[in-house]
Amino acid sequence: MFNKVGYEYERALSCAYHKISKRGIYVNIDRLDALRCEVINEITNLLDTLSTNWSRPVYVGNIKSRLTISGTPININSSSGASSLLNNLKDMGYVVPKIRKKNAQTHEVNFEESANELALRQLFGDTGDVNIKHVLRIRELNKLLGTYINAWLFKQTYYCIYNVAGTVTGRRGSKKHIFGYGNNSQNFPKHSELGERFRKCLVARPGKILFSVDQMSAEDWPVSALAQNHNALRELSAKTWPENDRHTKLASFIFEVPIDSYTKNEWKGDNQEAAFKRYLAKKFRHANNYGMRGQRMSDTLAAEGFAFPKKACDQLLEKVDKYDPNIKLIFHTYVQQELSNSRTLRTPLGRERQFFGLRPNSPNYEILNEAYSYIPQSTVGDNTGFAVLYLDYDNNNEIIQEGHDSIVSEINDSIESLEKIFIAKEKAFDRELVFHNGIKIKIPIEAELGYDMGETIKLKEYTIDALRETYKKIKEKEIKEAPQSAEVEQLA
Amino acid sequence: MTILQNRGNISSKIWFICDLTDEDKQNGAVLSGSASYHFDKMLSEASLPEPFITYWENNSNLLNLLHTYHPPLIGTVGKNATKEFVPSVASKKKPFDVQLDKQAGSLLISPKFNFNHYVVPFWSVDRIYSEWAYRDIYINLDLGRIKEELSYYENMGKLNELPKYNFLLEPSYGDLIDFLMGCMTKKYISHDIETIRPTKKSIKYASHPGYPYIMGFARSRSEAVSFSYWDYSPKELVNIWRLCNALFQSVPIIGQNYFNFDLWFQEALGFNMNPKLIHDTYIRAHILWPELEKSLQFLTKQYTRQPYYKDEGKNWSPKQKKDYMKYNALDCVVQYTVFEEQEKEFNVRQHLK
Repeated sequence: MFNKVGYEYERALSCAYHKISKRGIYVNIDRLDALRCEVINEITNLLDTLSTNWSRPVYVGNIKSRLTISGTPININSSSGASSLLNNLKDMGYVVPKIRKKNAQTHEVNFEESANELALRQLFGDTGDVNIKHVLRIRELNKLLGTYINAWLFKQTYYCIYNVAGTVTGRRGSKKHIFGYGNNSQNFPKHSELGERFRKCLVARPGKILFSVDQMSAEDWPVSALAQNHNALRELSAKTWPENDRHTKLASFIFEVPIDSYTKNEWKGDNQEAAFKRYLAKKFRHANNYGMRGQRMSDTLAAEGFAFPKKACDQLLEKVDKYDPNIKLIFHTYVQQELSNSRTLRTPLGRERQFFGLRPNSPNYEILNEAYSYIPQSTVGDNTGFAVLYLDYDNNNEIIQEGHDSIVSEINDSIESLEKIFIAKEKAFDRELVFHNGIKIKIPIEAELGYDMGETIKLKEYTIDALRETYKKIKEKEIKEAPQSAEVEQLA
Repeated sequence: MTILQNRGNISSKIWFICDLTDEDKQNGAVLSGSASYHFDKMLSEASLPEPFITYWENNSNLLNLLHTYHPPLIGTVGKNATKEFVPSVASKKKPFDVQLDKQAGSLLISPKFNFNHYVVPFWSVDRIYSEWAYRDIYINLDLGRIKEELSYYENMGKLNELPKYNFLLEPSYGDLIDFLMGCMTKKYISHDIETIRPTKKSIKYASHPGYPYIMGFARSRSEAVSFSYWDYSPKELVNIWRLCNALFQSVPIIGQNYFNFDLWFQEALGFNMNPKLIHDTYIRAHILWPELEKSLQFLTKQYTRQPYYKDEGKNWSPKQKKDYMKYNALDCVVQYTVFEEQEKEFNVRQHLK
């Protein structure tokens, strides 16, 4: 069994992922068809609204407005020509923002007018024009439709190809199968109602159940180790709230709100204001970890629909830095020194990357930002890779999906099978990671059970008792949701 | 016509013939200003001796000088300099440009020189300003090519010949069986397939993945066979396919991007592939040099002396089947060479194995 990254490890991993790629994810066609109808309906309604408001026919791909309106048609997804969104927005008098763009040929950076997502979010932020909001929604829906809902299936199965050498960090990449089926399997939409509806279409095959495991606060662990932040490592290991809720503690600090102003559940979602602050704290922590600066943070938040000017972002990032000074003082300094000495970074699991392009007497922000994220991302990605390899060697490779820090397995629907995979996955992720500074960590895991990827029940803790309890809940839920079939069985 | 100043050692075995910039014309000297500083620094980091640096535009004396001094290694710095001396690498379509991202570092021959030489295309120095990451490739691979050839020339007194190959294309049934039988005892063999896909006119264009059409095997850096999957009688095909199947089951296979492409097609056709026997040069490149490109085009430049050839495999039709087989055979021998060179690197960097 491998304990470090190298060619033979990636070669063995390729074999394991070949099996995963061949297995695919089973799909509930009825749910998918219903979702497809709904999405097309919503897109068409929005196109009708836009066509009316703009007095021009608007369409996206093959979906057109139902109204008969004359005039230059606008293609929401077109980037050039008379029907392009950009040209039509300008024609209608919109002041289209200019976005930073790198020329692929000359590699020069320019600011150009654009109708991409970032530009539209800025435009919406500036004008509050509901039509722009509609365009963003159409694009979101159309992307879901084109990428996932309308992906070709083969025998009711969604396929992809995992590429073990697909990224520089060592994370796997995934894409549409070479025979045209499926699409990326690692970026299923998550944090939206439609995303959840789509995930509900991805189901366990008859007689099977899905057991998903993911690394808890995955990248926070290596970041804290690299920053020699023992306090953070204690928090990550803590079992009780609020000690183990780093994001709430950070939110409390940067927004100057006492933790006990809200309950645990309010911070985690029941109270919109508290939950939003917690969400922002998480985002700003992540940004600070990887050296993101104000403008980029502002752009990132704008892309998610939140208007935060650069100055506000800079101020919040400063506060995060004050809260966790070790990130810059120790973690970033270490990375800068390594790059200065050898232009190479090495992870605890032995993966190496050389960083070309470091320009002397230049801040090298872009390269450094990539470098800061390299060890944490690679470490987590390889931790998952080693786990997959362990399961494959252990004859437990019933994996149907891998999501960088998580693995979803499809196993026989019985407590015996679940207990077997439970133990196997515990061992698969039981790995000590030793950093250059001597700090050792083990990233804990948490698990979920379900019959589809949208609706799952989380185990309270990673123990056999919790597994049995959760399985019982799932079974009770299954019976409750199918009372007629149960009666018929009884009669039989 | 203004005569610009050349620089360097005219007796050097390395000449660089450059495109002129506006700054050069203003300064009255080739490769002047900051470009001069950067170029000299890169030459020094590549440990190259002082070259002769000149220009081609409106330089009527250049050919005479070249034929007087016979430099064996000539770098053409810039698209136009390359096009001027090796017009065959210019695109056949407007604007008839030279694609240096493909040709840089290749060993080419100019029809304008009647002495033994290699022409090696280079990017203009200003490419480095906008893409600093390319600097390492410029120094270690492009200038590195010149250094390697110079070393051979100085030791052997002549230029190293380009790789020579022994290809068996569209073989007879008997020759093919003999070749494949010969592969059975090899430590490893290189393998590649080519597919035939619907044309742009077809409604299936871009949606149908294509069918495997040609298959090739190499059993050394120079010997390869390429044949069509379908060109034999059914009885012969049964034997050929069974022999191929036996190879896939028992002999380690070298491939490029094999896990993402060839493996799927071969399995779909019914071959009993053994993924554990596959050595993928793409994966090996990912471990050795994750920052660099991993295409076979780039690996060819990084690890072999084979000039750029990948355009030969584009836009072909069944009428050019034998040309396509040659391209396929070339892929196989190049993969084999890349694998062995990567193996040398793994022997030095054993912690990555």
